[in-house]
Amino acid sequence: MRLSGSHLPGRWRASGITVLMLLGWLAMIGRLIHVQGTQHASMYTRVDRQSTFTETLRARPGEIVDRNGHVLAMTVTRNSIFAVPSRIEDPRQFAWQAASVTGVDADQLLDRIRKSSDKHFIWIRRRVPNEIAEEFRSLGLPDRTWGFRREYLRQYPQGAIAGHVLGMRNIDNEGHGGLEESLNDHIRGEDGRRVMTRDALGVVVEVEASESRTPVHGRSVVTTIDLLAQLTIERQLDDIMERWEPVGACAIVMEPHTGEVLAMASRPGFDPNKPAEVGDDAWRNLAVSAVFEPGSTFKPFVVGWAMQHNTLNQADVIQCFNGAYRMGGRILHDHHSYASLSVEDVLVKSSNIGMARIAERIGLQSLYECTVAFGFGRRTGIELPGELSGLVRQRAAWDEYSLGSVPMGQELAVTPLQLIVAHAALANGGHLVRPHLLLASADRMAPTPLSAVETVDATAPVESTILHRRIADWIVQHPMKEVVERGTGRSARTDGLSIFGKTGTAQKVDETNGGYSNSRHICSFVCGAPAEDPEVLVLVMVDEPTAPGGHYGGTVAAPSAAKILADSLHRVRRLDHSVTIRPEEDLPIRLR
Amino acid sequence: MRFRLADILVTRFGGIMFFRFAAALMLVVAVSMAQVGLEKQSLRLRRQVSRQYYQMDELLELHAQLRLDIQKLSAPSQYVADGRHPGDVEERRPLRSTAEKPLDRRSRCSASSLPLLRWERPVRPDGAQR
Repeated sequence: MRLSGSHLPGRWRASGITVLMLLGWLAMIGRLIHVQGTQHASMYTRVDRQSTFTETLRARPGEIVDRNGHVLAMTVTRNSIFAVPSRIEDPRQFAWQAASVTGVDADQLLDRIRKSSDKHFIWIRRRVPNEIAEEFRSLGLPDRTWGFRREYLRQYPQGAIAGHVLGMRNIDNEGHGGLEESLNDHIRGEDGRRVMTRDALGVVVEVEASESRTPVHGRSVVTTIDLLAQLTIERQLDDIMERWEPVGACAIVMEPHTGEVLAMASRPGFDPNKPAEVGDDAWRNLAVSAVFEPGSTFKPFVVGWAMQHNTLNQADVIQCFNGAYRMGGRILHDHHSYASLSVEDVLVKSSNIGMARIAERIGLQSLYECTVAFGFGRRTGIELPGELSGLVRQRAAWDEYSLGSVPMGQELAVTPLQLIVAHAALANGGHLVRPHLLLASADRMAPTPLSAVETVDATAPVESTILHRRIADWIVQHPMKEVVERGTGRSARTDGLSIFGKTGTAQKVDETNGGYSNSRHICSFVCGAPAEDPEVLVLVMVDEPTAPGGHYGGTVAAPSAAKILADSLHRVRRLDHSVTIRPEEDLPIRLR
Repeated sequence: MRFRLADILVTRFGGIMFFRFAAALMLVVAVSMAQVGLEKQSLRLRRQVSRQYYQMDELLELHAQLRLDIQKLSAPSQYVADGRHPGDVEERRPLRSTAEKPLDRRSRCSASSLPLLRWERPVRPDGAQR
């Protein structure tokens, strides 16, 4: 009994301890269920936040190349230098040393470091040249107080050439202006990401492959631009700017049968490599965004339309009333007095009265239809942002006054691109084509290891047929050729070339009285060659030449247009249309 | 005699159990070691693949830089400017790329302990996996 009595407290103790342990276990199990069950999401988020981080893998933007493979825009990698202010012990020394190499202002850098002394990251200078990066590395600044990050830098190896066609790409890989903007979705690619797990010391121990994604690099695009033709028009525009001191100027070279734009330039221009130096006016691509009255360059369309609808014949003679013709409530005048002119001479002499008389034959409705049929009043659809549709008033707004104004290129406004597209319809036998800057078939170009080549849908270039071929050919080979031979475009005559063309001189609106200004003009000249089978079409438009010596299209624009035409014709005939197709197997696997 | 026999039986029985226990333990250890070995091999291969991707990226960057230099040097504007002939264009030394230089000690360290940058399957530009 004593024994059992002495064992009794021990048993109670054992039972008590067992119960306590059980309770302890139960409490732990309960807590476990609580943590794993109800608090699972928040705990998981905390762990995830502390141990994993996501890094964005930037996609390399694709290249833009000309039709012969010259690179117009491409991307390289540069080092960006950053500092870790929280680890910098001597900010003054750090700032002074860093500034001596990077060229940033030492005081400003010191100020930024001090203001961010509790932060772990500030940029010192982004996308520095390799030499500066090496020099910075050799400074021997304390470890873990600075570092490099690699970032893409868009480069335009041809400098300012074709700046308006290309546009720019900013530091965030967004295109602004030109093809960079309109083809942004193709060129920019798709960023990837890398999800990594790190330990308590911050060292990466694992990459979560299932959650990571490889970047899809941007695709390269092949343009219809011919670099040498582009270079020619850039130089001619520079000459025009120097000689005539205009507000602006632009030029376009086009293949009239396909609508391929071989060259396009605008002034003032800019160098996309130096975005900080671009002037406010320089952004504007006048080739697609300048809206002006076409003046006499519009006249051939009305003549062709009248012939198409059998209201005018090549052999007709038009009464011109010796230079003054009353039309409704106003009197029209010609620069020179003519009693009568043949249809051909109406265009060669650029007679306003003759055109008004032709317009009277076709009537207001048909004149409106002519304007619309040649593509005025709507965008051409070229792959450039900021294209304007020009200005063609609603039919209801046209009156008898329009019958005299529209045939001489007034009362409507067009863009240079619309004008050259309409003239392309005359040059190619009467078909309105869609101008484009991308080669319809990119398989002519070898892809680079940096990116695959974008294949563009081969949309039919011909939109509609406007004129019979014989009418279009007659206008090009007779009146427009004679314009250069003996008319207002004589300064475009070039030995050995059969050039056709049409000059245009339009008065700008005088903002003080709402009428036409007598001192501010827009001069244009559109020409092509050879007249028998046009291969190239050139348009030069000069906005408000201010230098003394003339303000006519034949004086200001025609000589440069002729030079561009001669060079472009030379280029077109040398274009290599047999570029070897590079097999896909040559590409790195991830780019196929 | 009976007692010695029992001892022998117990000893023998215990020996068998011990043998079984030891064998099971060794099996577990062996499987674990094999797993660790395979994990290490997998990690090494991943690092190799990752390093190759890294090297390919470096080569692509070098290619891009050289391509840019070539394009700048052969830009038609250089030849046409001021009436110069192509032979008159001054030569520029191509920029050295960091990829050309041997890795310094710190870089070597970081290369050997290179984080696993990428080993997932290549992706086509249109997003499809190969």
